[in-house]
Amino acid sequence: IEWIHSRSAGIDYVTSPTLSNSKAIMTNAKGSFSSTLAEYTMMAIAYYAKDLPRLLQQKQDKNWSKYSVQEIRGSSLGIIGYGDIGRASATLAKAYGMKVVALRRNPALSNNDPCVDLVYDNSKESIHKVMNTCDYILISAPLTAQTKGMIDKEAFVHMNKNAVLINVGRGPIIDEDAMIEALKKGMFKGVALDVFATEPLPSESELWEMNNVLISPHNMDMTETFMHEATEFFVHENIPRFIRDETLLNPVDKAAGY
Amino acid sequence: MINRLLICIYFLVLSSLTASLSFESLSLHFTRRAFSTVSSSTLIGLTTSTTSTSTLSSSNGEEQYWNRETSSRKQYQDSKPISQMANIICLSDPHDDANQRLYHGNLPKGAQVIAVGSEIDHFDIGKLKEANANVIFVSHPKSREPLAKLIQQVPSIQWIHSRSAGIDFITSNELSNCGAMVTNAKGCFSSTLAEYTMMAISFFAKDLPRLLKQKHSKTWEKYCVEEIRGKTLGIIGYGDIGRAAGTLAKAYGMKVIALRRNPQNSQGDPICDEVYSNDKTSLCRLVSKSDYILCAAPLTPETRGLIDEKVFSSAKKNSVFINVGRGPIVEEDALIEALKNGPLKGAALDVVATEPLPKDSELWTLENVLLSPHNMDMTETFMHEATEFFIEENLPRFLRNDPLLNLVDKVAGY
Repeated sequence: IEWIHSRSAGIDYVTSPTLSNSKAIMTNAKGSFSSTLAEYTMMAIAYYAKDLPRLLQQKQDKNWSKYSVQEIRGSSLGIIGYGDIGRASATLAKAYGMKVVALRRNPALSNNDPCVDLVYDNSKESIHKVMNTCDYILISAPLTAQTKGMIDKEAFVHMNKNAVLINVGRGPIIDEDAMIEALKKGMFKGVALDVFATEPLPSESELWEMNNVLISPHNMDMTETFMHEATEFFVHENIPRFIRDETLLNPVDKAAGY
Repeated sequence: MINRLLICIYFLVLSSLTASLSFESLSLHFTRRAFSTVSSSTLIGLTTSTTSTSTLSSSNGEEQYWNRETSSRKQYQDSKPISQMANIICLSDPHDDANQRLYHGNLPKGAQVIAVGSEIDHFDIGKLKEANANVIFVSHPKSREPLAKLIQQVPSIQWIHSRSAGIDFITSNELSNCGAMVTNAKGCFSSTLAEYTMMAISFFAKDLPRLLKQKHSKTWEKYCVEEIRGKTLGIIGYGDIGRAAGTLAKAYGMKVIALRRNPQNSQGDPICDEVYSNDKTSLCRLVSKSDYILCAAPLTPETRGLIDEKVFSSAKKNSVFINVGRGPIVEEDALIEALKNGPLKGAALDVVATEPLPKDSELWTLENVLLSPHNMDMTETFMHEATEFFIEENLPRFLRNDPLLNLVDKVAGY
């Protein structure tokens, strides 16, 4: 075996010591799902900015009651894990006139990025700073040994009261119990989660009944054709390259895990 | 009395000396805009200021319309001396928090508020005439009649400014026929409504209703979502709001097609892929090609009832209708029919024919309707900003007898 290709972007579902130690090249579907997840990110932001829950409740009650909405323009988006999905979200956020702060392992790589106003490294201090200063925080990091449980109880202590947390990365990056506790205590405004520590989300999870939680069943990148397209990417892009012994697209750093 | 006479003589002398007080520049205010506007703004947060080319503009080519996001502030010639006073009547609620700066704050030199009221009885017409009232600032929703009366009874009125973008709430024969200039708040509310438009699109594309139902029943059920990228947004009424929405839509990778009275004004517009003129056939064609239809038109005699049964029946199957213009532009019964029996998948309405929406309206109970109480442009500060626009942009221009921003075509109604 010379080459292993994953049809999905996340490879956390196939990692193993055997994989890490093998000499085979590994590639994935990075970049195939990003724009749809960016669309979801802006929807999650608008959900809270325009208080969609209130709108829907008022409709149910036949209540015509004007209230002030928040502008997305001028607010800030902190992106934890500035890969392809993070960048697609930053691009949209910038179009809305948001301020964008990005967190990545290699901040230098984003030095001249027009979609980003500030770049930080992925240290604890940087995470706390983002949680504290941003109106919306997007987790779009891969699940690796380093990122697992990265958004912990301590991180939530730093979160600002009006902030909204959005997760399109992987559930285990967030300490789910700490998050639920922090939400219940009113330490921040709300969450929008497309991914969870355990999927399907068990019916006993408190998240189902909490008000300031938007839940989607890990389907916000699931268009009619996305899996077909991901397979096509393998067939039309990487196979021809492999056959010609050319550099494959989307190589994965097996040690890093993404 | 003598002092006033002396002041008048002073101004007469001053005005005859000042080159800018020419009949040519005065006549500019009464003719319809007949030049093409080319504006551009890039998509990734690097906005360039709106530029407009005009055969009639003053020599420094300044903007004729205001856009909150892209216009440069205070572009009037500050060093130019003022050549007339602004004696302002406020047709407003004296307790309106957003107007407090107007009532009590620092106004440009030469401007003063001489009366505030919301009904004609609140004003002493004699005093208004004595004070040479020449400007009316309108913000009260029930201003139509009082404004018509003020126009009739105070002939010195030169300029009427509406704090909102829509002027349908103050139109009247008296307004159409009087010689006064009318300006409005075009461009002050657009970006928030563009944000709402994309939210409405997402609401249906990602099936937010289904998500919320599934949460309620604790159901974990994967389903396919629609991409917004690649879909077509059809904009009926391509003014400032339409363009702001089109700009965001383009950032999402949508195709944007638009309908406006003067399609030639959109030639070369990088936001718009196709422009249609506003005849019924074109309207039906636009609607048949759109996955999402946005109505962002003003309410005028021409647009009232424009979107009717014929238009809805031309709509693409499973398209979504969004209204941020005015309720009466839509035949509400035809809309309800199209929502119940197709072809519409759903509608997102920030405006309706009667506001507040009567409790017996079916729109409350139709599942595929996203309803908001005409508040999707209502930020904490938007009215304050609209008042500031009057104080900081148009008042200084009026005082210097320079072209005002956001002149309304009284005949067209917007």
